Amino acid sequence: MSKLGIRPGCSYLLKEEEPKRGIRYFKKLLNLGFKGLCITKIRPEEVRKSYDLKKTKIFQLNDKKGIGNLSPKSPVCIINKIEEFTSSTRKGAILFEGLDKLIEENNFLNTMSLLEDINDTIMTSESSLILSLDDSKFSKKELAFLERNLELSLNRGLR
Amino acid sequence: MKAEQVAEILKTLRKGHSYLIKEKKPELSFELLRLLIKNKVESLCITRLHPKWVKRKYKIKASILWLSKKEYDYCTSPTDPGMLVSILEKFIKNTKNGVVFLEGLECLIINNSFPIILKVVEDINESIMESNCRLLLPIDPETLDEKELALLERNLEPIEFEKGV
Repeated sequence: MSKLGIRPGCSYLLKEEEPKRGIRYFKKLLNLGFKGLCITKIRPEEVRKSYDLKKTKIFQLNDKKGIGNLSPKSPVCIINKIEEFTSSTRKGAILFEGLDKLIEENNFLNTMSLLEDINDTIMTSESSLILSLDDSKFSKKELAFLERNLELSLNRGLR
Repeated sequence: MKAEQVAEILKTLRKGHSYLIKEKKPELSFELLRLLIKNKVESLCITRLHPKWVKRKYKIKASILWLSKKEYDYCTSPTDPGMLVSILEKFIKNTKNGVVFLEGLECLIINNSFPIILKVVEDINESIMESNCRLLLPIDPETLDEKELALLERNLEPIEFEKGV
């Protein structure tokens, strides 16, 4: 377990309006020697500039074609990117932000199925996932689905 | 308090019965399973959690099948409920004093649909009724609509742990 209380092979759900704490956790993990992968709906340049993430792989959930883009309409591309990262990384940290965008494009149940697949990939790896989301955008039932298999301990605060 | 409640519930579990255990996370359900195994009850544990976590966190010393689309020999896919029923029925038929622990109903619903999974639960329940096994089915009730929960409770005996335990 890292000094931040993050275990390899675990996925964490972080409830926040904007992914600020998620990025702070992510950055602290990078400073502890973790390799990083960030998937977000925010423009990568903006994330790099605001949080000083110079070398980290950042992909934007975006329909435009481009090396740094992942289409939210293609869950397979997202799971492939995560599998590629976890299989080539011994100590990895993944920050995932933009679940609401995936739900818009794929519906809630299909997105949950994707998230279950991502969680399975994480469980069989040495990487950790932080899923940052704005819980006010989800119904009570949807949140219960999300909380069933993801760890909630990060919501107690950044140690 | 937690240990006392689990011990009390353990005494009430009967062969041939199916139980719907309502809790946010399946913590006390796994404790029930651990105690049953300790009492020499043969078990089949199917769960969404990776077996290494189940063994480490809940101290379950039994064979565990992972409900996952991954293709390891210790997996059963949530997209194939027919295979799941077949595995469960084989165990139920061949076990004299057993417990079937099925955790991950939410995942099965996501990958199939509620009506399909309700039928699966009803089929398993029928096999359990004619057997010497018990079925433990942990679920977070908040993942279900009121009507869905009522349909599950029609055939299964609900167990609810006291809040704050």
